Amino acid sequence: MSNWRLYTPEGTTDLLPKQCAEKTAVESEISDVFSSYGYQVVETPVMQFYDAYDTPISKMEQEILYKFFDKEGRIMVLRPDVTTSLARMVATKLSGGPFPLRLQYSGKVFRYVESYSSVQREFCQSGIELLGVKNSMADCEVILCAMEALLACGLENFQIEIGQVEFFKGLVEQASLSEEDAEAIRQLIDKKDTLALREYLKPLSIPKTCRDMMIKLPAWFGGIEVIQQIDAACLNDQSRSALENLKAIYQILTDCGYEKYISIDLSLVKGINCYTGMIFKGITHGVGFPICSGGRYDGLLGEFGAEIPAVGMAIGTDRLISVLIRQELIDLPQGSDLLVYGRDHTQCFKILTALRQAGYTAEHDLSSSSYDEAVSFAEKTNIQGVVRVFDDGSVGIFNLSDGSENITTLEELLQDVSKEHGCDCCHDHH
Amino acid sequence: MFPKSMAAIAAMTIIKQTEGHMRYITIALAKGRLAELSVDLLEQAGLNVEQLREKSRRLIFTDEQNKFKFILVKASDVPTYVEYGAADIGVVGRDTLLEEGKDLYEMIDLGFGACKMAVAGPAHLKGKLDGLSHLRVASKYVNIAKNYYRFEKKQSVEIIKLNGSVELAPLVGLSEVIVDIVESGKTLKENGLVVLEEICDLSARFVVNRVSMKMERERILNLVEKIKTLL
Repeated sequence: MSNWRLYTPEGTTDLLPKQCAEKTAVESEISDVFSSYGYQVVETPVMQFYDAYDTPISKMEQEILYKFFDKEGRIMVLRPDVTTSLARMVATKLSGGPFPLRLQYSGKVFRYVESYSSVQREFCQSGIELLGVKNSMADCEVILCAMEALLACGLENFQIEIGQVEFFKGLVEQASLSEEDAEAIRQLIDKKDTLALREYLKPLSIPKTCRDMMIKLPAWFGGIEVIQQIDAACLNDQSRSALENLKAIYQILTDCGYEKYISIDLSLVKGINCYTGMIFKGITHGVGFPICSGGRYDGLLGEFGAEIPAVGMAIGTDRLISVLIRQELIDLPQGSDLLVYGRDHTQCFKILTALRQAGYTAEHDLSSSSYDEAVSFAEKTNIQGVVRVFDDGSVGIFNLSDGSENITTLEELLQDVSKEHGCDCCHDHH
Repeated sequence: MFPKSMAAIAAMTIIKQTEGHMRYITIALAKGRLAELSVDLLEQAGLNVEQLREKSRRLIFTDEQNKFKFILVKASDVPTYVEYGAADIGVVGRDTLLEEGKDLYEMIDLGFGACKMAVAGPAHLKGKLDGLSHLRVASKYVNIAKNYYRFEKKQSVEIIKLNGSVELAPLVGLSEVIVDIVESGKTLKENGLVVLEEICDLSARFVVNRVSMKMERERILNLVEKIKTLL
């Protein structure tokens, strides 16, 4: 039997201090944006019952779910997304409102994906759900929030492509297509395989206007002209109001100055069993996959007993971080502010406490046998300055960034530090 | 007195992006005959493929004028390069696309490299396959074979992965049938096999990464339109 004790399972990874710092920074930037919109943080368990992912709307292919049994023989899953469990939480515990309810989350999700690919099986999502409102304003808010979060992380060169699944569903309805035909056509549109699409539609007896629209659908992405060129007169109400919704969203976001970040894509037809309106994806150079996605899912909460409309989105934080690194947009300062070295450890502890209370990050040199060794440790670990406590009680401060050295007394140092600290207090009082 | 760093730690340092320069669009070509045909087509579409024509062992070639890069990869890796965005565009056979099952845009059927994916075996099995309770299928294309039997035939079969000379399997009793590409049918005939069922038509496809399609919409659609007029 092989022994795996030295490895992490495929698709999972350890985060070393630098990576963790990046993740924390990005997650907190995102969360701050969400909070500024009034989204409150919630958590749901990582473990969920399989049944939650086995309803017509929340259905996930069982192949991608991590499953196991609990002691009572029930099938459990590691959550493949947060939205479903959050929908369950709201439907069962917060269905009384008041609405709109704005919730945000950040956490790990798990999906079995093909091995030997760079896609992680355990990855992080930060997202929001806006519950209890069914209008274009809510759709806009969620897209806006996604864009602001990406911008806050420093990403500038990205596109949000917005689609509307009801447009396609309306065409299917109008053409009275069978479920199988509709699914086959959906897949071909999704792949932009126009030729096969044309061939597939040929033998079907559907209105010519529907057929023409379906054939053109894969090419309907770009600016607002995509919608303007469509002859709304030959659409049914479902498709027409889908376009109205898209127009409204596009107009508001444009008026707010976000036009350069948004585009329309009517051929976005993924996940249509769950989505019931606007859907969107965020893309950028450097990764071939979306970095965020979302949409309206008015039916999902009904599966858990409460008919509450909802719209939401999630950012794949790992993907976003890899983009930020690749586009050289993230550069976190490493290391503590100060290292305190001295043989009188009581003095060292006193100084350290004072420094920390004044807001500095300060490490205690626990093992260096000489001052030079302490400085070399500080250099290696990007600590910016070394405080040396001499045996006679005087204190030296060595600034590694500019090489300057300062000698002072312990009392003076403590006073200076507490003065800085004190100043803050005074400031607060006034 | 102390090194200043609190502010720096509190906020992420954001470096301004360099913008303005045109990105290279990368095209992944399947090594071999398909690459030669693709090179001809790309040249007709106005790209500078001189470097690709030179005999060398290089794997990356550039067209500086039009800002295109070409990479030569193993056919079965083309969909992978394109899915991850390491290449924006790929030219690859539909057999490979079906086998690899990646999430891409299949923009154009280039027409060349036309052939069929089929179930082949000894002639005496013709029309009797559905009656066999245990069918062994040898193939290089295990996913195509698996999906065909699972979704179209709704049949449980044993699939045996081989890496070449698949026609041998029914002759030596390794399997009853094979799933393989059939071009002229000559190889089958010489080994006493016949096509028992046709699975699908195959030919070379022009595929595009989902993100690249949007981020480089104009340049990619231009190329697509040019190629379409050439077909």
